[in-house]
Amino acid sequence: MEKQVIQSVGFRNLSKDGRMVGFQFKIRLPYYRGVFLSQLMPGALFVDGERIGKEDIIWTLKGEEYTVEQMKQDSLRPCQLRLLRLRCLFSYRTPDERSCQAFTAPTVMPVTKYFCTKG
Amino acid sequence: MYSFESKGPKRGVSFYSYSAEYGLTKTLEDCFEDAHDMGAHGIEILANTHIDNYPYPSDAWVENWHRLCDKYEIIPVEYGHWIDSHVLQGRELTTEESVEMLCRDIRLAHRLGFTVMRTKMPVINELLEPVLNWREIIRAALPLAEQLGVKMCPEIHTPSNLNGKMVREYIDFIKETKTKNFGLNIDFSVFRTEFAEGEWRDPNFEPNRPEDIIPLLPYVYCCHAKFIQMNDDFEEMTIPYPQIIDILKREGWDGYLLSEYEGADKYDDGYEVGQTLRKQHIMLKNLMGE
Repeated sequence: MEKQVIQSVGFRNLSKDGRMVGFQFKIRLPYYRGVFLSQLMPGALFVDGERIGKEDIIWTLKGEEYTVEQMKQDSLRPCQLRLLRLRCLFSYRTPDERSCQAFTAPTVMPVTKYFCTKG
Repeated sequence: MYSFESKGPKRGVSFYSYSAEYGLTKTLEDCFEDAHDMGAHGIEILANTHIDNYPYPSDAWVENWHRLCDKYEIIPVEYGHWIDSHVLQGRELTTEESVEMLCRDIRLAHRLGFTVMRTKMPVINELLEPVLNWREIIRAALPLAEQLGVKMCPEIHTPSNLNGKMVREYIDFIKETKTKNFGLNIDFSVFRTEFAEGEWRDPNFEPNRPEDIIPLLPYVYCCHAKFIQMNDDFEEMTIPYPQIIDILKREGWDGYLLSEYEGADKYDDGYEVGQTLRKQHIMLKNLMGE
């Protein structure tokens, strides 16, 4: 694993039926303790000036996908909360899965926002 | 199972010290090996950092944990964990839910062989005061802690003061319940007297004198040997270590001093915290007469 939050390995476009529908990359939690997903306060992502809202981003932890709403897990008992320890997958799919431009080596700006915890 | 028979203050390492390297250039086993090479026999882990699939490690992981303790002659001393009652964004956990989380950690700590827990209470202000229902949460977990032989210890850390209201309330609780399963972890940051010029200093912080720890010692089951700056003559420049160690020896205190380095420079490229820890351990050996 690399020191940077965004890992160089695993940065790829997502396609479906031959069309580009999004992209994904791996991120690392640069914090000294593991946190529960509900403790993260995601923000928006900017890629080459294009804004991607947090509601359009999917977090994948050990093969399970979560929307920002699901990460809050209000409906679950606290003992069922999932822990983000070191890494997870971060992906974006266009909501209607329209073909979108392939993202290559984008400039990703305020990524650290994703790791602001509450306490 | 490895055992280390020695009375008095003993040397240990908090794996938190490796936070800049853990998961990148160091594995869990590397941390064990480094502690062993320093001649330290005790460790602290942070449960949600160092336990794979916390809070539900696999049997294989637990088996390997015990293998590492044996191989590197390590006593699992302190299990660092949080009572995360602020974990949900919409509401606070109920007392019952907090107790459930706490009991889960007590069972896991025991399963890994720990006897002390650094129980981080959820705080409500900058003085690090705990949530108002902390007594109910701890009281409900005391029977399980007693049954499994673990001691829950909030950490007393700058800017808290050993003579302050929070510590007094913890001691009152211990006296009232007569429990042996709740106590204190003293972080030596409370003794810090020296600050670099222009360095930020918490306005709420008033350094304790080393002797302030004496009346608390019957309730202190672990210490964080916090250190800030070691010089090349193996002296710590900001905390009066010779006086502190002298008091612990003289008073017959028996327990582990877990080295905790949190200098921001450990995140610099190329920094090796193992070297910094070694300097402190040479100092501790000298002061303890080891």
